[in-house]
Amino acid sequence: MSEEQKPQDAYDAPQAEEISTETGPATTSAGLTEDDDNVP
Amino acid sequence: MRTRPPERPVGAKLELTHACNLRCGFCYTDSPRHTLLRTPDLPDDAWHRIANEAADLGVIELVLTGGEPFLRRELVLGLLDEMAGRDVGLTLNTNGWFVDDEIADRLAAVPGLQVDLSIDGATPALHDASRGVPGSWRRAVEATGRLLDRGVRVQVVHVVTPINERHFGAMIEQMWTLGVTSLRATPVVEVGAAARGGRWPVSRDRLRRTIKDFSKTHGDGMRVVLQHGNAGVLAIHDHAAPVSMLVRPGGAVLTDSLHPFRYGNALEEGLAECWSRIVENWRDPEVSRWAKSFRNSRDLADAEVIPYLSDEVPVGSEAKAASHVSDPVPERAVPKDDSGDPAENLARAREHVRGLALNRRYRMAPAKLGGGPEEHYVRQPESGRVLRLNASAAAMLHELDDGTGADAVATLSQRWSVDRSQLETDVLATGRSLVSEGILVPVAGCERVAS
Repeated sequence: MSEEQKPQDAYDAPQAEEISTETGPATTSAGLTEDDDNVP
Repeated sequence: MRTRPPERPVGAKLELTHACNLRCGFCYTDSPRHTLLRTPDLPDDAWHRIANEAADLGVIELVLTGGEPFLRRELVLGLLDEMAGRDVGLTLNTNGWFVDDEIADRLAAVPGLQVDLSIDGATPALHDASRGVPGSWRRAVEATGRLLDRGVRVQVVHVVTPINERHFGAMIEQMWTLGVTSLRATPVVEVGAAARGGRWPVSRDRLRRTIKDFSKTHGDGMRVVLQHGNAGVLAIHDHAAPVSMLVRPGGAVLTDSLHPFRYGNALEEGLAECWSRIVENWRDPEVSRWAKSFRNSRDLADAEVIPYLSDEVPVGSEAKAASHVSDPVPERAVPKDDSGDPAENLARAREHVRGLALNRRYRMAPAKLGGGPEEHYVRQPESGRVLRLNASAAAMLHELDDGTGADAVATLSQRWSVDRSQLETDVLATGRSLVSEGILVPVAGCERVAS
């Protein structure tokens, strides 16, 4: 079914929220990656 | 606290003219009196010389003001062009009356310019009564709209009086609708004409509460600042060294608008020499004595020398000067719209402001879109921020790309059966939000024709 043929959808108030697209390793508050914590 | 002025001035404020086309009873520069008297101003070439000397001295900000600067249209536009080329931060104060499409285009071409535009109420009745000339509200809001259409940074300056104080909430709401991002509310400073015209008490606490309530509803989408009181500035005079200088329309150099002491003439002695005198004498005993004689801002109106209402005092002299409290001032016109039901006046004014905002055209900034038809993701290239837009926000972004808010409302009302007024509010809010995120940019009429 094309976009134009879809039944009328419910209206939600517009929202624009910032999201994170980060996929790398977690970072500690000191700015080190968790792997680095174990570096002697 | 700054206990020493810097070696060189940081900023300079140039009052390009005494004259003004409006007749505000609270005018701190007492421009209506000077307009009637035709008090002479420095010629254009002198102002160009002074502005260039300020740039040579390394000022990082230049404020062009009046009177109404656009009564000297070619001078102010020429100075803006010239100083932008010298990499000086620029602020222009205006009442907006003369800001037509042509001037708005010229201002939009000045990099980094901030325009401070005066609007004193949510309705013509309130503003025009403050400004003393019918039609001035319409001119001011339309000028603001024109500048916002072109992406010019506008700060609305709102003088709060005992008459418009209780309508402050409606005023900031109105400016939010128009698309304004910054509003400075300033209770009347009792100098100049305001010192001639009685008392102007307002409740700062009530204004603060109104600002807080507004923030709860609208978040931080519009910065609303309440100007500090002035008595404090004077009370700490000995510990708050000047960083900038003020040049009056005839060339007299002062430290600011609150201290009526003259440190020379910009044309005759030059700014560098005047700044040296400020550095040397800003704590002159007579200046300190005068500044410390105030316990609150109301005392200013009873001072022996009242800024802008008395002649300035050469520094080093006793603080006594001729006062112009009894000089004639122009008649204030009775505003035509100062009648009828206030609620109806406000509804009409809201409709006008909403129309200006809904007719603003946008286009998308070069941002990257992702996701599917029901949910958009957009990455702002400069900040790297990624936003997720729900279906209605995504549809609004789509419609506002080379469209106006009115276009978006017309299309989206066919897709969703939602109250039109609510849809208008949502489109305006989404437009504001996406502009502040750098996803949408307003485009002026001329750009539209060219594309």
